[in-house]
Amino acid sequence: MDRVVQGQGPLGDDPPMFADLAAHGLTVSVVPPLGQINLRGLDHEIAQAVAAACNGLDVTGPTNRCVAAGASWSLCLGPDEWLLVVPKHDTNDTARDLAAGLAGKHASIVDVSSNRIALDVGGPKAVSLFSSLTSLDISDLGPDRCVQTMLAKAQVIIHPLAAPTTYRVFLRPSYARHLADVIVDATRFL
Amino acid sequence: MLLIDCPHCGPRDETEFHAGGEAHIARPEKAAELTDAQWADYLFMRSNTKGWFAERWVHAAGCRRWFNVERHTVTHEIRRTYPMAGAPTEPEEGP
Ligand SMILES: [Zn+2]
Repeated sequence: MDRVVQGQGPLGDDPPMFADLAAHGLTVSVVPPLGQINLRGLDHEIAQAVAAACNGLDVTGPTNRCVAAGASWSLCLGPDEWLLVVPKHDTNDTARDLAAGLAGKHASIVDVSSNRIALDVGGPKAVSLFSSLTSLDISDLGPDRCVQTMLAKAQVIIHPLAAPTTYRVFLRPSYARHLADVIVDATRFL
Repeated sequence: MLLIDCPHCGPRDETEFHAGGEAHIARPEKAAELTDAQWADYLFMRSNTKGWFAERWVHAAGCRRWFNVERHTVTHEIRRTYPMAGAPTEPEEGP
């Protein structure tokens, strides 16, 4: 019943343009498709149900808090909004469990898996790369924080996977090629 | 460029925000009872302040939340940012 369309993202799975970055102290890889669920509600009303549906994922705490539980992540995008990132094959089940757990509550659950792709940016020059693209100091980012900002005019969500060396960057597919070009270009200054 | 302290995200470049005009203009409760002139006043008329000015901004490229900013229209200094529900700073007594 659940029809999952498998397809290549805008950059393909393993773009050759990223192959030479290692010589510049940078690794960039396209993350295989992720399940992404946009969740809205008041945390004190929904936290329990979300934890039950998502292996104990904790959505309490301030905006831009980022926390993992198993293979799932919660990125708090606003006082009443989260991006839940789950394994792709769990998306439908997670959304269904959330809907069941939050039945009767004032909440919204939307599958937004196609809204963004993710790049993993790592290597000793990862922080330098971000420094050349944004005025924010990404090295300041605690392990439990995400940041919503712009890189080269593309809106992104960044969170550390293994700070200070690896970061996951979510961006809209239509900006993927643009940001990829900018990253490759920026290596000239690293 | 302004450095605006988003109540949710902290200080960010102005390019991440959009301005939303004068703050604290309440929608009339009984709009249907207003004259055209009163309705037009609510819709269009804004103060043209020289000095401290309360205005709305949205963190468009960040948390996408609206909030209020008190900005000096001459110096561009921002002395305060606060949530939509917050009250503006009382104006100081003029000389
Ligand atoms: Zn913000």
